[in-house]
Amino acid sequence: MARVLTPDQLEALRKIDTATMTNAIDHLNVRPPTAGFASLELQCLMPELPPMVGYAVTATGDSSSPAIPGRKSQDRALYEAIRDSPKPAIVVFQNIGTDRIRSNQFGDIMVTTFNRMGAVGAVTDGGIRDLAGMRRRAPGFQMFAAGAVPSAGVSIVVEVGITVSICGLTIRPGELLHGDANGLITVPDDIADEVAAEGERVLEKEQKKVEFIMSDEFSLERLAEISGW
Amino acid sequence: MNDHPVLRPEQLGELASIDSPTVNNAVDSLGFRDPTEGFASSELRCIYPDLPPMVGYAITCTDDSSTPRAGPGRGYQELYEAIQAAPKPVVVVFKCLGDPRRSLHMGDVMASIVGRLGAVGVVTDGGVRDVAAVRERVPGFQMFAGGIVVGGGAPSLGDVGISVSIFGLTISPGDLLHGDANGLLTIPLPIADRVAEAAKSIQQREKERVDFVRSDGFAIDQLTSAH
Repeated sequence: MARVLTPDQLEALRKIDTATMTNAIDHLNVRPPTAGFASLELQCLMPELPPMVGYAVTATGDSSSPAIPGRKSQDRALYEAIRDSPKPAIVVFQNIGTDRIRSNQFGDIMVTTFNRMGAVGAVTDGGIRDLAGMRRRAPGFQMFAAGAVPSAGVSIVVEVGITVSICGLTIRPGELLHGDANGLITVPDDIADEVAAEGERVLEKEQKKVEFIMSDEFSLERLAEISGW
Repeated sequence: MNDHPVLRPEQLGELASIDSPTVNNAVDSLGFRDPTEGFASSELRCIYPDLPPMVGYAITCTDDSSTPRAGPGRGYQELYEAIQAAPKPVVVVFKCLGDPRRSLHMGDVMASIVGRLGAVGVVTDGGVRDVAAVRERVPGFQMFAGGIVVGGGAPSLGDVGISVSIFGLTISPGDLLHGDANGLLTIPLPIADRVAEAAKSIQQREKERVDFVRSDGFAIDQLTSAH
């Protein structure tokens, strides 16, 4: 279980966009810059929302396999895990059914329930539906998925509280997630309390660089000097 | 690219006022290439579908940010110099050499630099990011990509000025690119100065046809004989 941040620390993280977060994490040298983020197959379905920050509640889900007699959906375990998770929570479902891109993991009723219990977003490598209903019933709730599919299929929660992999990103239960229109990352525990400050420094440096690029001083030679090429 | 004249600004402006499907029809109508070629597949996403058509000359390169590396990667100075030296407007084309689902080729700072040097857009089979900041810092800059990915990775420039293939579209340095919400195509340089006129007569014919289809005189037998 990850270290739980204070409300102020969480608020500071919400002020930094996810792309800047990856730069800040890279500066703190805690993992290779080629790791720690989901691939472009994972789509942000509410790109207009500010960054989502929260603790992962993980599960596997299956909606594309035919119903198996006796197999029971672990809904209760899921809702208890959300209840017991530090807040804000983010519900993460990895598809383990027969067909990931025909699976349906979340709809508006489920999301409204998650939201009521303190979740601010959901993530799946499969499909979701009811985007308009989610916007109306759980305003501000973020959704990352491979895309939208209309049918619910035979949807069940298989296991709760396990480590999952979403479009190349490994997510452990309780891990801190950060995501916006640019994509989704995990925030390493060791630097979770200092990364926002580093993010502010990155933003400030980039702002100065862009001001130089747009200024009359700009030339490739000067850019090379400043960049140390 | 030296074999054909660079289009005049007003000719480029005309092409930018016509949507990409109509430009594609116009290229087909001139019989210069097979109609099943010359455009990127639906895997290439237009990130800003609200923008007007992008028109520009390709500056191409290969690039990789997804392969882990120990030291620093190769910087982008050669690419920037090529953009500076090229006829404008430029479209920068990045062919991903690593894992295209996890590779990043354009963010807001680089878009600011290439935009300042005269680029109007980017094309890549890998990822881009900073979708809000690019729009704010380089207004009108278009991005075509496999998708959006957040990790900057370990960037390293490959070769500059080579022919590349982006989702089934071969792009050579100096090729004229045209793209909008409908996708991306190349306009063959030998006929580039005739495409806008051909497109306008297609737009006129399509308008007449749609007017007829929506009119009270519409009938299938009329459609086949008169249209």
